[in-house]
Amino acid sequence: MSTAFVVEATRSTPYINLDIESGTAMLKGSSYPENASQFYQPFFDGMEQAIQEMGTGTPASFSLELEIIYLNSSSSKVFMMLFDMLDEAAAKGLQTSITWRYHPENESAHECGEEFKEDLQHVPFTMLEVPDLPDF
Amino acid sequence: MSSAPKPKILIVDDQPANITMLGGSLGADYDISVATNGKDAVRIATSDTPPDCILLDIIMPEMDGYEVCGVLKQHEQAKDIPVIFITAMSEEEDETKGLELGAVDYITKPFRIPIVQARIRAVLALKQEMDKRMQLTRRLSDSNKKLEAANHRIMESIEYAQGIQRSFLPRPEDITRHIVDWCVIWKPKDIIGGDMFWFEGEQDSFYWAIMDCTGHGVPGAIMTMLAGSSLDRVINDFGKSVPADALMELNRMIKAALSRRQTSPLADDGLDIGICHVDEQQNTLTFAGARISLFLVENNEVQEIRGDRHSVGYRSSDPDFQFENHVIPLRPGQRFYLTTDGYLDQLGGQRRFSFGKRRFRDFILQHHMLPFAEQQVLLQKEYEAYKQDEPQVDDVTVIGFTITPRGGQ
Repeated sequence: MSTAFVVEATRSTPYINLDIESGTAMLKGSSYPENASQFYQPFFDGMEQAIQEMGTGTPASFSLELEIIYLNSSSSKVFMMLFDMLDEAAAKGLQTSITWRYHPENESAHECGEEFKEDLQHVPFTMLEVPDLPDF
Repeated sequence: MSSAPKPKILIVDDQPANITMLGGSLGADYDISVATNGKDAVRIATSDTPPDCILLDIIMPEMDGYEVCGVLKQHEQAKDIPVIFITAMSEEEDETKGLELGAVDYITKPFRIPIVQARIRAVLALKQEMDKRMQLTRRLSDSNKKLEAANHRIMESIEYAQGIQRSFLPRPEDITRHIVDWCVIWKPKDIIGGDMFWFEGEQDSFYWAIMDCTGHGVPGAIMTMLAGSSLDRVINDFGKSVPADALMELNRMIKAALSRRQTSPLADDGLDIGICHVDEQQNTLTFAGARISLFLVENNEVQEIRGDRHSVGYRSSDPDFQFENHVIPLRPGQRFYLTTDGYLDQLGGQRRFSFGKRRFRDFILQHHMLPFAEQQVLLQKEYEAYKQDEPQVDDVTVIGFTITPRGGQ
């Protein structure tokens, strides 16, 4: 049975893909839902479950990848809670990681990632510049 | 047998023999009423219990069948009753005339009863289908009207709320008493919003603050009421005249106000704020910020005086957090700007990225020497030009001002 949790992107919410079994999650798009805490609750619950299951050995690691063009302040609060959860897990010796992907011209996304990174102590937080793919 | 009432048929003929024959053969399946002249036919068809179908003879003394049909088609309630002409005439011209008048079918005498029955059945089935559609259409338009009414009530309520929120904003004349050249852009995303600016003038000093509460629309606006009146209390009642102290007190007060009941674990509300206190005796501006910066343009350079990276009033906000005071000596020619993230975050441009701080800094550097009334227009234009067709993502507030120091040259 698959443990994947997928939500398609809308204009104001990102594409979400959480695979508890393989210990990976991906968020991609913009995030400014009217009620961010309500929108992210199921994803938040899934992440919680994944980290709990890490205690039993599978998944062995958990990596969260984000490529967020824009997020509003309430989304940013929810993200911080998600990151804190991974940070705490890392502090307990669990293997967690976060990758923040951003376009070199998206100054706000870059700055936002830097701020998140500053606030975290244990979980490795990688800033990854992703330029446009070349046009063919 | 079905328990549904039998369909009602009105037979109109001046020959009782015809009525007897038709009525006798249809009476088992239909509820029959009869009329022997046009006037009676119109009376019955337009009564409170109209028939479902009319079998109408054409040649009758006084008012003939064509005339009856014409009258009924003009009548609001009777116009949809299907009419079948029954007549001895069989000229094609007559048939055309009847159909043009709105009859649905045409049967010529001598007729065969099974054919009459089949045609009535077909007409009634069609009528039933039409009635169902009419009913659906009516129901749709009813629920549309209900939705419109509900929407109207909600909008009325929000517009009323807008009046309240606007009355809470500082009066321009109170600001002008202390500052000659200034501007404010306040543009909620949804009529009312979570952004607020706040001004308090005293004898030789004034406070100017800009706030961005979580959410926009109605929830944001409720938060601004709490934030604004709490700031009133902190400054006026508690006498916290130093911005950093005022923010600490505000943080505690709002945390307390919002923590009376636990709601969803992810729900967490508070605000970002930047507050300036200008001492007109000392010629200083003291700024403290909670995730809001003060921009200063001086000597053709932009300086961002960053607020602390700590919001106010959130569950995660530390009640003992010490905010930092930034004291700036006032000199002629300085231009100050405060903005919430709505302006900086607005999506647009070619890539749909946020407006960004760099663009904002470049913009104020380019235009800071203009009177603020002109800068206000340009700031709005710049915002719209970047945004283009994108919806406004957040409430927008920008404040700009310059202070002429007292006793300065």
